Amino acid sequence: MRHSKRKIVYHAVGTVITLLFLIPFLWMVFLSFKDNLGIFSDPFGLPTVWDFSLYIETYKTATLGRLFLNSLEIVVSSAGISMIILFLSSYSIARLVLKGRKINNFIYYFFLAGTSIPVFAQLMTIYKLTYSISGVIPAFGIGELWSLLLPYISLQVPFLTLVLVGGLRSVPRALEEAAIIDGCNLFQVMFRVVLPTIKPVFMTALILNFLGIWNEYPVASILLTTKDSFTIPLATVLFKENFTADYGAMLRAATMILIPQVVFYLIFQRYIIEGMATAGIKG
Amino acid sequence: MHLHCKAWKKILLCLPALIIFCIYMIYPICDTIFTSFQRQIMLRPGWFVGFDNYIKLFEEKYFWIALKNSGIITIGSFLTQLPLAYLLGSFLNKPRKNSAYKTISFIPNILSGVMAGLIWTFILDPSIGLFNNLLISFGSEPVLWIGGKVLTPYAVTLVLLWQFVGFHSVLFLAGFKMMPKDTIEAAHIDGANTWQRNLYVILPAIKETVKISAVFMLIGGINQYQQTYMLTGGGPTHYSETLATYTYYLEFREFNFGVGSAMATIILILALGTSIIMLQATTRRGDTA
Repeated sequence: MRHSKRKIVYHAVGTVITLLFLIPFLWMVFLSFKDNLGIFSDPFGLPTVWDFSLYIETYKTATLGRLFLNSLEIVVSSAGISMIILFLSSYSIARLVLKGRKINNFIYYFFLAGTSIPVFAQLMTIYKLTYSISGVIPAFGIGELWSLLLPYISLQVPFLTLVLVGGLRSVPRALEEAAIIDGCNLFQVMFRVVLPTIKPVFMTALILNFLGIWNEYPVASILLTTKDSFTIPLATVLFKENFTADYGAMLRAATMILIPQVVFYLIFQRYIIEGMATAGIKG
Repeated sequence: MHLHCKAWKKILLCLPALIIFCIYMIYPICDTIFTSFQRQIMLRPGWFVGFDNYIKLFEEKYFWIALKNSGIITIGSFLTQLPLAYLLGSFLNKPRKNSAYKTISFIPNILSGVMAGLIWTFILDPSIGLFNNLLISFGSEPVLWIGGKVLTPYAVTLVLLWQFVGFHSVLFLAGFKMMPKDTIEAAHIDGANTWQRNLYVILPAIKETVKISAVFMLIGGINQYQQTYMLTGGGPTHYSETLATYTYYLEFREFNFGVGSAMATIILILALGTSIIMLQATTRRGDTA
């Protein structure tokens, strides 16, 4: 008897918590089906028509397809390149021993120190650097999507170093030694033996990397100027300006943006939650 | 063994990461600090003015308002998120199939700050927001949650609570799982009730987790930008700026790189100070272990 009573209380509390977290989303979706007249005059009323054509219209007006592509391009390239070069450097830090351990640790702590640098201390210089690059390689200059590539890679260095070095240190040396005895050179050991071993850590780092870059706003806001090159967070802010009083459109656009992100999260939630918790504790 | 391989190979592996890190992370800090002592507008060459920029900042009313707002947000985060994360963590710690609740409470965490700001705009907006409409339907007066001169930092604290309490509760959950079970059982056997158990046994055991969460909140409070910017853009004439939004305004709206860098350097000092405090806390832990 006590057990079932406890269970009811538990789930009651759980439901309250769920509602508290989900209400903002629900309110947003609810409002998104109304046209502006409905939003302003009678926010609580049911929408007159559950109109999906409004959604399609907003999709086109906000050029959501282009936005998704932009974000996807920059996220995949930044994440891909940063994972590769950080795997190399983390392997070097974790594994390759010089006569003194000092250099290992120096580079490790040097990279880790980057976690405490607020991005606002970097913005102006990133702007200046990118401006200079515009003169040399226009494709990577101000206003271009690819200008984000290098800054985004650099932003990931501290975090990825933390996670990857941690993961690499737990690989048993015997594994590598066996590979060497079998005649592998350095790269073969790294990529064919060690990398598969740390796949969970690698995956977690990759997914959190994705998430971080997808959601990044400050750097994008100073480097991107043309509508064609916007990433999603940037466009989110500009919805407020572009759609001014068309709150319905804003909400519809926001909902459409949220859906892939939430789906991504639901698929990878185990990695995301565990990864963030572990990174938090270690950091 | 190749593991003791030549130095050049080792450095070569680190090189790409090292180069990008130095160019985009180390050099900007130096540049920012350097520029903070110059008078520089936009990209035109600047000249040295010593501490002028800092003095200008300290004389500026909006600097202190921004500082105050950031302070309210940080302390507000401590006061709201720490207890609630503790409670939520305990709730999630019950041995039942509860991954659904954990999943749901973590969802707001994966949003970008601006998205969270956008969502909450429709709750906090004085005219069409959920809160005020609820108030009106119960017969009270609407409140200026955002857009006024006073309440915005508190509203931001609420948004941050919604967004991050899930994250902190997961940290607390991990902390709970690492607690030594025997001490708790001993307390139970000795007849301590729930209140005493929590206060005297569990809290001390998760001190480390509390420290970690607190540091995250501190850093988050110092760097608070996206949510505030999205909700008010700085408020009616800078009344709801935070340190970060004001830095952004100085650098990219007024294009006053000199004063903006001074502001950024102040944020940098605060952030580094926090890291040092955290390092102290960690080493002390190492000593008593």
